[in-house]
Parts: sequence; structure tokens; C-alpha cells
Amino acid sequence: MTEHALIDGLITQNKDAIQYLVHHYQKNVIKTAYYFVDNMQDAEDLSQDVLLEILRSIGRYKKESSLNTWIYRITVNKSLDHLRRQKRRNIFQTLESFLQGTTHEKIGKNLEPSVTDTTHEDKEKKKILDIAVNSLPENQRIAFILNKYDELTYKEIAEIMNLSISSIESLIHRAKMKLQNKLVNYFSEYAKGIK
Amino acid sequence: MQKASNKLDCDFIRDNLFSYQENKLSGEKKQMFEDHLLICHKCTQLVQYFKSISKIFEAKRSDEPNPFIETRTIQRIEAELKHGNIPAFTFSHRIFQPLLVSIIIFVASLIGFSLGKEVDKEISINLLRQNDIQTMKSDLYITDFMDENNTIFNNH
Repeated sequence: MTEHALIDGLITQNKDAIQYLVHHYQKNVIKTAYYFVDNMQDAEDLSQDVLLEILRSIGRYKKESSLNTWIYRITVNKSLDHLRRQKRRNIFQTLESFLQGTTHEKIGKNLEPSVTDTTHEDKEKKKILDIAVNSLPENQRIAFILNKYDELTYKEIAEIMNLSISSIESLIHRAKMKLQNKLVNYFSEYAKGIK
Repeated sequence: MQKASNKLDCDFIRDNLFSYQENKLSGEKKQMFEDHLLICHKCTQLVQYFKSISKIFEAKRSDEPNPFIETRTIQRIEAELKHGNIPAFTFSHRIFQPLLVSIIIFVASLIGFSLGKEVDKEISINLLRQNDIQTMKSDLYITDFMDENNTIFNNH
């Protein structure tokens, strides 16, 4: 099915077009969302929201960018919204447990590693990497995740983020520098720990 | 001096962890990087640590979603469509909606235009009436009342 036929099919809510959309695009949407939210269950739920959003707003899609780019944009926005909501929820939960005088353990699914890690050390390293990536400024984080996890080219990221290729290069370079520094610091702590 | 150059080399390692990992260092720089690792145990450990962290990127990429998610999603979309939660963008919808908006704008401007004309007519009639009163006044020699400050009092 061509992109044009798919869009027309989605506009008329054609069953085949909807099935084609789900079959060909959902997995990518889940993976991208997963790289952002770090929880497969949440990523799957988000992918359904993204597909419903596509169906709701396909009539307003202006074809200025490719359908794939447009879907990436919706996915990134939905994932970031989810993270913001989760952050707010975590703050309230922390506050609540503080007011109740209970000792708060790690709150929120985000801190619980979802990958089936084998060792405690792997879990620890994954947590460190997630914290380091999540501490990046939003634009750097988006560009870095799309490049490093989704393996998109600078040109594709530039289209998704509506920025120039040179801006994307600079964002990714700065993100890597910051991550390197953070990981070196973590390593110093880690090295102290194993001494 | 030796210590200073080692410190520089360690900084070089720290600044190029990603480039080395992604094989983006030039031949000469890569050689420099690897030569330093031969003599610096701490940097070797750091590079190993960084490599193990980088493996997490690959591990995350290989995580797969639930195989039944596609069926579940189609079911959810069908349910949303059934309940009318997704507006249909049919051909008539796409044509009818903009047409309706254009007609409403056109009718509103027509009403505005005719109302404006009516008001304009009334203003000119009022002006004519006032002119007639003035002419009558002057014909009958009726002067306007004035106070001590020579302000004209209008009777009407």
C-alpha cells in the first residue's frame, strides 16, 4: 500500500488501511516510546494512544513531512507527556509518603528496570545509564535517543525535530559529552566501591 | 613532565569514549587511545566499564513488545470507532464543513452590511431633521437660549 493510499484509507476509516497502519507502524512506535519511557507495558499503551491520535487527526495531516516523520513526532510528544505526568505523580507520591511519615522507597515504575537483566550489577548499570540519559536537557535527550537507540540519521532527526542538521549534530555532540562526564563520575564512585 | 602528559592522555581517553566506542576516531587518534590503555590501568577499567554500559543500548534495542499487542490494538480501535470516539473525515465531511463555514461567513457579512446601511440611513435622516429644525427656527426668528457664558441651550 502506498503512503497516499494509506492516508486516504485512514481518512475514510477503511479497515484494511487501519490494519496496515497497525501492522507496519506499531512496532516502531512501541520501540521509540520504550526508549523514552523505559517500560514496555507503558510503551505498548502509549503506542495505542499514538495510533488513535493518528486516526483522529489524519484529516489535518498536511503532508509537509512524510507520514513516518509525522508519526515519530506524535510518538515523541506522547512519550514526553507521559514522562511529565509520571514525574508529577512521583512528586505527589513522595510528598504523600513524606507527610505520612513512611520511608519512601523508589517510587514509580520508571526506576524499576524492565529489561530481564541477569545480574544485580547489570541492573545497577542500566539504572545509572537511564538516570544519566534522563538528566539531559529535553532536546539533547530526544536527539540522542532517536540517534543512539532508534538509529535514525541526523537528517531524519532534523525533520522530526524541525531543526537544521547542524543543530542536531551539535545537540548529539553535547549530549554525548555530558553523558561521558556523568558516566566517568559514576565510574569513579564505582571504582571506589570495588576497592 | 611525564605525569602531566599522562594526565593529558587520561583526559583524551575520557573525552573520546563515545568516539572510540563508535569507531569514529582517526587512525592516529585510535592508536594514541590504545597506546595509553596499555600503560594506564585506570583508563582500561574505565573503557571496559563504558563498554559494558554501552551494551545496555544494544540490550534495550533487542527488547521485543508483546506479540499480541497488534490484535489488542485493532480491537481497541474498533471499539473506539464503534462508540464514535474517532470523527470520520469522509469526502462529504471534508467538502461540507468548509462550505458551511464559508456560507456562514458570507451570510454574516451580508447581514452586517445591510445593518450598517440601515444605521447610516437613520443617521442621515436625523441630520436632515436637525437641519429642518434649524431652518424652521431661523424662519420663525426663534433664537437659541444662551447663559452668561454664551453656551447655547438646546431645547430638544
